[in-house]
Amino acid sequence: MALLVLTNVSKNFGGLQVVSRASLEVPEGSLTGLVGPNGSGKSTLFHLIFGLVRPDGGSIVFRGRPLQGLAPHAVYGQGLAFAFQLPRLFFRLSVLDNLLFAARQQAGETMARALFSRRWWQRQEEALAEKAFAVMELLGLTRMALEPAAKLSGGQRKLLEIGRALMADPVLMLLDEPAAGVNPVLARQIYETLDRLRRRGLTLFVIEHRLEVLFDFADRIYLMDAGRIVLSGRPQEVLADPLFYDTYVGAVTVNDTA
Amino acid sequence: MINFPQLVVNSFVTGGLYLLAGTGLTLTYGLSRFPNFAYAEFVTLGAFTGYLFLRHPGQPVVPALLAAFVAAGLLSVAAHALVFRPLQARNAGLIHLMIASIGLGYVIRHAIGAIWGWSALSYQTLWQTYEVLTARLSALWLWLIVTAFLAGVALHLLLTRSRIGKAIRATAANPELARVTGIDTDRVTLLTWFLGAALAGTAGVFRAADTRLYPMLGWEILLPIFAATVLGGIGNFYGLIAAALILGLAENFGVVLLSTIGLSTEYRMAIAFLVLILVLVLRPKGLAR
Amino acid sequence: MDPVIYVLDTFVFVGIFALLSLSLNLEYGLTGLGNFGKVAFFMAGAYTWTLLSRAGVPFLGCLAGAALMAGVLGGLVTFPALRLREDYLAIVTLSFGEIMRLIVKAEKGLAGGVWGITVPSAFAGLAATPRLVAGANLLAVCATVALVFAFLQLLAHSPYGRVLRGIREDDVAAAAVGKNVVLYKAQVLVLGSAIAGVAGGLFAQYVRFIDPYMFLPTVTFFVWIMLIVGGPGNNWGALLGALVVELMNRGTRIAKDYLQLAVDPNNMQFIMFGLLIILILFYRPEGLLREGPVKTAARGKVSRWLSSS
Repeated sequence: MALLVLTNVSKNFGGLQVVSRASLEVPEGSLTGLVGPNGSGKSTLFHLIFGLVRPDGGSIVFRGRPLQGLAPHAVYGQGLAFAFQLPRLFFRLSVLDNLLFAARQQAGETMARALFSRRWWQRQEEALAEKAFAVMELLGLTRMALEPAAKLSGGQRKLLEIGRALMADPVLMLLDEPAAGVNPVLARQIYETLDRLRRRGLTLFVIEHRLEVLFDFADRIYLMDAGRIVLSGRPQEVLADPLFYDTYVGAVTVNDTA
Repeated sequence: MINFPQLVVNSFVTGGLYLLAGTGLTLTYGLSRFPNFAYAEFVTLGAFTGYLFLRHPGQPVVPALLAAFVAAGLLSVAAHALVFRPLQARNAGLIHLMIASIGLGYVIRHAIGAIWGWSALSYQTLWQTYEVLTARLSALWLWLIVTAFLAGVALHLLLTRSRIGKAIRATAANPELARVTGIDTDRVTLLTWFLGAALAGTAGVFRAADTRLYPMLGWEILLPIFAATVLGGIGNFYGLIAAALILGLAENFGVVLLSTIGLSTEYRMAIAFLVLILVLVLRPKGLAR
Repeated sequence: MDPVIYVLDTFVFVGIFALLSLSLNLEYGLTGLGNFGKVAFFMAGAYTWTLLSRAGVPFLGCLAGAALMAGVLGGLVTFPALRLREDYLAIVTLSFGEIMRLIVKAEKGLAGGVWGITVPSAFAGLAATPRLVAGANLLAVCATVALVFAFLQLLAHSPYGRVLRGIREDDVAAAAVGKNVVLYKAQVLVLGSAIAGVAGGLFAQYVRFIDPYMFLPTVTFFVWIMLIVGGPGNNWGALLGALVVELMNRGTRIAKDYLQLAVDPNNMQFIMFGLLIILILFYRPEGLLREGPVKTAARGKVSRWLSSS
């Protein structure tokens, strides 16, 4: 069953067609990859899905309900979560607070209940603390729980970014280059964690450049080039297709001998 | 009966003042990427320095203008080197820089007040008045318009024909790239801070000669020149020329409009504020885009 | 002036500034909104209270009116606040304040214009004993500060406060992680402005005469200096900043009578504040009292787990 369906989604930025009639499906329970050279529109596509940018045309449907036109916080409420490429953490807040922030339907987040229903939300806080602790243990961040996020290393920040996305118990998680800029061992660990989450029922849609790691874990790959989806299929199928190499390597002619 | 020629003259005077005073603001705001509220005091210091040379009738204007030019320029360089550059080196945020500029403004303004007092002083120069069509034109205004015009031309030539001018434009457009291509961006920044404020200092002399000289002189026109800066596009000198003129016309014709519909002329200043708010909310890049 | 009244007067002003400082802390310290138009809402509250009390409206009615008027105006600022960069927002809010001042100056029929307007004291019954009036005002102001402080502390150390701080750190991320940023910013600006309006009302009935020259941008700048010195993000810091700056203010004026200062205290004061704020920005930009973490049950629990393992 397709969890997320995009049909002919397009976006034009100041004369440049960044995304052009993109159509794809993310099956439930899968780890689907989105790959392509730099500037092919992958991040923009994710921003379109999440409502950070408005599409010019096409439809985005999640569990049968339209997603386009919703504000990001509403998209979040539908059960999607987003992990940014460059972690957008709350750097002066503690790791714990970064995680707690992401939990949905917190009573204490409205002014009235924050003031008058203290006991109710304090109890919720304690429950959320347990959940946050579990996430921190999964990601190996417990030591830093009360430290400001700014003190985390680059790799830890990526993990926290993912951890934050987990706190909302999302149905579908969009990850923009989860293994970017981390050492190969950590990259593999990240994907092993993602795989574990997938087996627990989470659907993952991932943009990735580290193809060697992604292709070991993905069920399906979409290849994007200059705003268009040009290829799709299982990792082995995509790898075997000559279009894949043409797209990545580009039109490099042998005459570049200057 | 609307005295059109007079309104046109007044508009050019206001516009010329805003151009002279605003050049430094738009260039340094664009370059250093924060609004310097202490900028008002560069204008004020220029005015007070000029006063030292115009305390007796019959004294020539040029020495006063030159003194104001140098004094305001030096103050600006000191402000940049002692306060703003070090703060930026410490990664101070935008709001911190703004607050620092407000604090610095207080220090300078009240130092001026401590030295010269807060009662309004006057330049003792007598200005001849001319009649052109139905407009009365004082020699002071002629000086202002001519100075503004010459400054505009000189700056244009500097920016387009000289090496340092091109360095300024390059640094304003992309500081990292400029540095990488070998431009000494620190020197460029210092020069811009000097030159811009120096022109503002001369504007101070004209403003004081036209009205009264007292420590709040610069602050009074600060928001209007912010309006001109923003309208023309922050960092855009040519945009400022157009914006200054437009604002001059808007204010002077606006005053006429206000009295015709029965509103107090106190609202004259509101014209500049409204322009400021509308531009920032609707078209933050100014008219240029 | 009677020294007892002088002391009472000093602390009334500390209290009024404390309210303004707390409101700015909510807006900027917690939520990151650089509101440079604080004096506009202070003024709106002052004039609203004045007009209402002159019309015979009782104390609580004037209070509510001042808060409401200021709060509504604060809501207006939300629109630019949502889409403007910090520096543009500062300039817009500054201009907003100046426009309001111009309106009062120009429309003489509204509230006396430049000639000002008298305000009946809420404690007119005690008028016979000035010390009692001052004392009563101090009590009223202190009670208000205590109430507002408790209110803001509860908010700051709750999930609501956590959302505000997240918005401050990265409002795009905050929206991407499910929070309705627009709503929060609007609430904060309305509440902050309402508090400033209450401060304005208390101020007006205390000084019993107001005119547009009492509401210059200087007031806004003073509040900013108080907050930055005291510690943005920390409600205790907001209080401390108001105390420190106001005491320095008074101190320089008293010094004039007892010391031979080379410089007139008026000038001295501003030069001092300017230097103070620059020094703080250089060496202690987080202020005297640093921002503490969000203290909810979660933090306590995690802290215990960490120390036991």
